[in-house]
Amino acid sequence: MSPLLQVENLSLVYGGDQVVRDLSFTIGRGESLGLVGESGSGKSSVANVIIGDLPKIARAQGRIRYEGIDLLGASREQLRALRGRRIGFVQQDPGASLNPTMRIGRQLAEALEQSDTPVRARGERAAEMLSRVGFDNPGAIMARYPHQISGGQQQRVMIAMALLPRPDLILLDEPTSGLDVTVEAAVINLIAELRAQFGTSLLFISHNLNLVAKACDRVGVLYAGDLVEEAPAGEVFQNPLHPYTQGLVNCLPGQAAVLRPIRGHVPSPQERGPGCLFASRCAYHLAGSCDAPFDMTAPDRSHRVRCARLGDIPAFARQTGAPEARGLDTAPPAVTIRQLRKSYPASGGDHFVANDGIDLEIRQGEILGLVGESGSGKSTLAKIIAGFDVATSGTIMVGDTDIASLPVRRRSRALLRQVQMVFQNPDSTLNPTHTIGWALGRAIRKLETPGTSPKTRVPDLLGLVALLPGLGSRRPKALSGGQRQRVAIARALAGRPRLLLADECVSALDVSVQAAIIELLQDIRARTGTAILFISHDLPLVRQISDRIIVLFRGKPMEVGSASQVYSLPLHPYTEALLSTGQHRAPELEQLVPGTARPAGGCPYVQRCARVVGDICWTQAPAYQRAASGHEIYCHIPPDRLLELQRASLPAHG
Amino acid sequence: MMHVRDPRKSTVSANRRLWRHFWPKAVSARFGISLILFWIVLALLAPWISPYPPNAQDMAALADLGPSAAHWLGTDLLGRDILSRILWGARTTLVVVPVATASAFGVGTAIGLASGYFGGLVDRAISGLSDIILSFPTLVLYIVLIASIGPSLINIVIAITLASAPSIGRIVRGLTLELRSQGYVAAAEMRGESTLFTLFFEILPNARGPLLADLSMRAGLAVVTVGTLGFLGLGLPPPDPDWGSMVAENVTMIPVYPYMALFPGLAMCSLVIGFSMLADGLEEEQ
Repeated sequence: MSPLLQVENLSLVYGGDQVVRDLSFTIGRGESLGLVGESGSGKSSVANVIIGDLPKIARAQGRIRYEGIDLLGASREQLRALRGRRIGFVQQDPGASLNPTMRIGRQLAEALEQSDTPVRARGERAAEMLSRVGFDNPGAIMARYPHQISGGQQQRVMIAMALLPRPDLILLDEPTSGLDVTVEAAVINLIAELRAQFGTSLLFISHNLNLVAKACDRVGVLYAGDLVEEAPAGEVFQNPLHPYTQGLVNCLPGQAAVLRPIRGHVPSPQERGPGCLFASRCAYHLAGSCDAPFDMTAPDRSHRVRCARLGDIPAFARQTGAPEARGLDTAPPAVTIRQLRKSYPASGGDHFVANDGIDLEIRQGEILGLVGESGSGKSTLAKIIAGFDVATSGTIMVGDTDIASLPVRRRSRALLRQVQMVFQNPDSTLNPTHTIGWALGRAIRKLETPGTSPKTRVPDLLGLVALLPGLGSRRPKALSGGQRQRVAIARALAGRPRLLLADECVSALDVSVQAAIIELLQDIRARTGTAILFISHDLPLVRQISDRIIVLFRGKPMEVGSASQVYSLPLHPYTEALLSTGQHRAPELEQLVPGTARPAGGCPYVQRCARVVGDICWTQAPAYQRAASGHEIYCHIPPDRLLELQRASLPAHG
Repeated sequence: MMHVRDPRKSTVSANRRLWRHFWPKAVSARFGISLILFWIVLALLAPWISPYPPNAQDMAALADLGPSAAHWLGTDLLGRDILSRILWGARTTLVVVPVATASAFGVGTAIGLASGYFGGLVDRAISGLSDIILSFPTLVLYIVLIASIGPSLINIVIAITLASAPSIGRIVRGLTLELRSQGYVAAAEMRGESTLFTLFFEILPNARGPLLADLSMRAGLAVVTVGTLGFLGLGLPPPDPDWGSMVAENVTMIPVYPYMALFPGLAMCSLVIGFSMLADGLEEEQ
């Protein structure tokens, strides 16, 4: 049987820049292929060329056959007949893909406009599809406008919309970026389930290797527009053959025990030569054999690799061992937080509680990981410590000063020096008007001991974050995201702070760059003794870097303990759910709508908890319990009992 | 052979770089700048190139007022040379317009930065006041203002500033609101920079692009305003030439001698077009 989609020797050129080079792959009926790649790998261009949505300057060569029709040569009418009906497309940002002025029901019915379905039956079909993507009451959802449902629900509506005309192939372009981890896991599981149900073929494009491997049978790895490896999903992790794939797996939190970043950067289209594009970063690069063009080779039927020296590449060695966690129980606290509470007035005289009685010590030289989904109050906590917001009550002691209600504008120079922050977005962390040297020079002037010469200290700081001193004269536009984030770290370190706040500071970066920044932060901690509060929604990542972990839910720490304890022996039902997402479907999807009021008096997690023991959970706030292993949990159930429950319900997990 | 850098060559390339930096890339902006420069040069050279003094009356020309070899653009009813009066009038316009626009921008930027950055009560006070001013029809505002404080160069500048600062402030406020949430502004606050430093070194430079385009457009509007005020008799006191009053003086003669009002009108038009094309081009370049 001929494959459903066949891409042969596809090359894409934007202006004079080669974006995709000699790309070939096939997707058979019912098959699923994932394409992974970092930014600049050309993965989204592949999706766009298939649906025929390329910028005007793009030139495509090669062949894309869809059931025998050549998509590159097809007329607009032919393409229109295919798009939507035969090829479904789920885009990155569901909020932007849904029309805000139309009810969900009408938008779904519109997806059937081109089909033979009689108008009267369309609503019914739409409702049926909504229930299949996991909505309990499709009627209510159809009557709503897009802004009235959560991001995860929007994405499920988009998936339902793509599935409605019963297409043979669905393209998913980063369908879960911007969603919470728990929601992301639910969406991925849904996709896998639906594929099994409908037999639809999938082309899943993402930067996240873990996700792609979960949702697809086969995985293709793109690097700088080259398909460097294509293999069954399991093989990619167990037996990656291409040096880049090997490097990528070793960058993945949760896959490798110790992250090992890939040095160098993805070559820009101008830097790309005719040979292997990974050569500049490859440890096995051999002048001569790697620099000429070469084809993909297939070591076995299901595995293809583009490497000239395939025979010489050693078998993949996974980074083993546990991340080094330092026991810092005896270190004096850098910052002590007591009974911190922050609430915002909400509609109807209610209060939205962002932080709820947090007791916490950040010890000197410690990396403390703070995890939680969006809306858990983790950023609020960082903002209060940084002084961009003030607490409703409670104290944050830095030395002898309480900074809980001291906004940044009123902090003394000595205080400012002690607490610094690295921000999330690498694009806006540096002022585009000023050079790197200017930015660092200002920080040195304001935060360093008076008299320090910026001339000598700027290269020092750049060196500390492993950047060349020559970068000082550049402007942020000339720097990559990873480099900008390094400069931001250097800027925060100018005054040798006692505490560095890092709020999602790597979440916008590619995995290989992310691994390098993690390594840098650990190195800085070791060299300067700065404590770091590392905030992220990504639990495996936090596990990599942290000595201790706090799991936050609706402003309340659910579990606090050393990284290895929390990760290997999660006790609290919420931590358990967070860590197991992806292994089973999150049962509480409908309750993931953010902002819903928490029950008064009871445990904040009770609505989603799978282990509710009775009324006590609803009416009485639990107390912290210390487990035998040393970590603390906020739950009514004794730690030992929780362990028993876990073993009973998830034999595979224990 | 050693490579010795030719010092002359390096200054040439430095000049070229400077030129490239300031010479806009968009065609419309280049055209606009050329038109504006054309009028600036004419205004500067007016004392030397204008064929007659602006207020001199040529009795001989009264027999035939139309364009002739002696008076290229003709004379007005009093026998004054229209070309000379346009050239001298350019001086008035090209002094009032930049001063008024700069002053309006200074005030507008200040209030916009303040209300966008501080928010709260400051924002409400400034926005409220701006709304009151903006709720008046601009022309009525000008007439009331000039009529009450008297027509003079300074008062025209004050009137234009008062009438356009609120809308400039609105633009700057919007840009500031967006820019103040950027990481680099937070970083500046975290290292204890003063408010003025944050506003003028961290926020304002990044609002430059949209503001430059607006500046150019408003300069064009100011040309029109100065012309309108002159036309209404609220401009500079006679007999000194000013394009608006030239149109007003000759407007009754349009059926007979259309050129008398036409030429100063065209002069005004071309300058306005120059500014708005520059604005278009600057917007395009962003």
